[in-house]
Amino acid sequence: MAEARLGYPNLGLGVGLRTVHFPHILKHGPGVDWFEIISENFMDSGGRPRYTLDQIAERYPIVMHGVSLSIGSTDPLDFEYLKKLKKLAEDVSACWISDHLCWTGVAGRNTHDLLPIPLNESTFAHVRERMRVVQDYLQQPLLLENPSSYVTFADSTIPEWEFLGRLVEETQCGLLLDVNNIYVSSVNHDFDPYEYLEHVPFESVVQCHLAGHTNCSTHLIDTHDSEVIDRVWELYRVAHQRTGGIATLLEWDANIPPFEVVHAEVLKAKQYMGSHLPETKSSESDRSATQKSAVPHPLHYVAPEVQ
Amino acid sequence: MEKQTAPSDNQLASAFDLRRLQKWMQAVISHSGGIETGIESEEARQEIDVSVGEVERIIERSNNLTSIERLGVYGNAYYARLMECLRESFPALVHALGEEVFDEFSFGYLQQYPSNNYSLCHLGNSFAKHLEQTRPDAQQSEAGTVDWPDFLIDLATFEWNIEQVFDGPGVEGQSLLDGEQLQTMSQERWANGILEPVPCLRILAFRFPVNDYFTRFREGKQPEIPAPGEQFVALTRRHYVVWRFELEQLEYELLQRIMQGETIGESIQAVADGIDTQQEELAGRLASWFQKWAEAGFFQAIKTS
Repeated sequence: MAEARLGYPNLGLGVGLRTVHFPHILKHGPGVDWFEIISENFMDSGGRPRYTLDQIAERYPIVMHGVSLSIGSTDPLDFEYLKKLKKLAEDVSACWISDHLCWTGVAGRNTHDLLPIPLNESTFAHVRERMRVVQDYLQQPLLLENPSSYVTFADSTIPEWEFLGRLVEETQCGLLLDVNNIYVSSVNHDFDPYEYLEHVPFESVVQCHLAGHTNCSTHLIDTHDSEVIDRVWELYRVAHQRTGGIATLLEWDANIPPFEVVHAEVLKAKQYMGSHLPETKSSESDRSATQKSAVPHPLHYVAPEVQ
Repeated sequence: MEKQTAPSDNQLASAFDLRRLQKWMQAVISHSGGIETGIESEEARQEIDVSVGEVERIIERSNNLTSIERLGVYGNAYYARLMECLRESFPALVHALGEEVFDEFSFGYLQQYPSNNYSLCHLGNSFAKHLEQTRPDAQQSEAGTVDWPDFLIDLATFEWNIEQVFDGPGVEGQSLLDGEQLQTMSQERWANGILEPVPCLRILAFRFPVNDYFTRFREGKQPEIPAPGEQFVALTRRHYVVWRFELEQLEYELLQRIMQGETIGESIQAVADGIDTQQEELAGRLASWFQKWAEAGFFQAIKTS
């Protein structure tokens, strides 16, 4: 049997590191357990963002989360990208590196979106081989995250949980389980999120993501711009119970509130830990604001400081 | 290119290979005319030859949304996300044009120059070039020639350089050339010396006073498009903050030569030959420029043979 979390530590409750919070973090040194960075924001930085990251990495554990590996793409793997990814991981002593089960572009282009692939035997073999190459290069297990998605393919024959489970089995990768993404996809694709959770190989789940989303009434969009809804917290409760506790991180990428608010949101996770704790009141409906449309994560941009 | 036809009902959709599917989907969701036009486009049909009415053979519908509507989530996000990023890279240009017109330029730009990099930091690399390539001919009006496209191109160039200087390589934590080092050097060694600029130094010439415009914009003064007027600007970075220095034209020309690797003596001689100034006056200006450059940290070292 695989070692729990592939031997990685439970880092506790962390927050996605965003540039708007840099001054607060440097000044107050808040008592957050760890930070997750968007890898691409720092791989090429020679300025303030990277300098600040180096300072923060001296005080807090850092985990790297990527949005451009494009493991599912049919373009060749970008070894220049992997080289920079590996270097950054070494520089900040990253606890681990993660990315998504997705593709971001083809024919040399990058859509900067996390696009789904059909899930079948052929695509499984494709992703499996690329995972092996990437992990060989990085010389460490990569964590793959289940993405939020908005389409399903007629060509898919394997449920996402099975696809990920088999990747874990055959490549010894880890999983980053995003319970908000499970919820978003379950509404968009008409499946039961608890059935999904039932099949997750929890011994290989190293990290959990939490985030808010936007309710467009006919579908949900993973916008990372609000609080976590109760139904997602309930999925987290299950994930926590089944894993026995894992590094948990809140992502907040748009309409970002002050650091204390973001930190307080992830600390709510404590209410969902332990099967003996009373269940918090769960609303019956998705109380996230209803909008006609929204732009899904990811979007990352660092505004310059000028005199 | 060989076309792949839609499968008949009894054929499995797996007839589509992943690469064709990805090229098809990318063409569809990034098509400027929307999802349905994208599906019917030659680019998409070269990969998978399905019509709008047949698209459920590729993309399933959900209980609430059709296949087209589901693809539309990605289609809506594609331009919205990238245009938002460009707005953040060019805030003063957005002010100058207004958001709606800026978005029109961005929309055209993204079609001409789609992102091909893993990082959004490179998204605006060719924006000024695109404005140059698509600039209307100087428009005539009763008041004379309207050359506002030059202003827009200059402002885009200016803002993009600020962004590059901010997050590019710098010299924080390194020692820089100071004025004393230059003053204690013999005149001959100094004249034969080659100044090594810091990697974050940019020397720029504009047809419009974009630096002034940028200052007023940052002060929240809602600036109008200014009258033409040359402006020369140096950008550099100290302690991770971008600093702007307005230059005299002669100072700009001298810096340009120095940055091309000419010796200090050669550079001064070249610019002095082109002007009608008393030697004493030029010497005074040179002394003040070198003092300013040293204080601003324009140069890392001086190479002397």
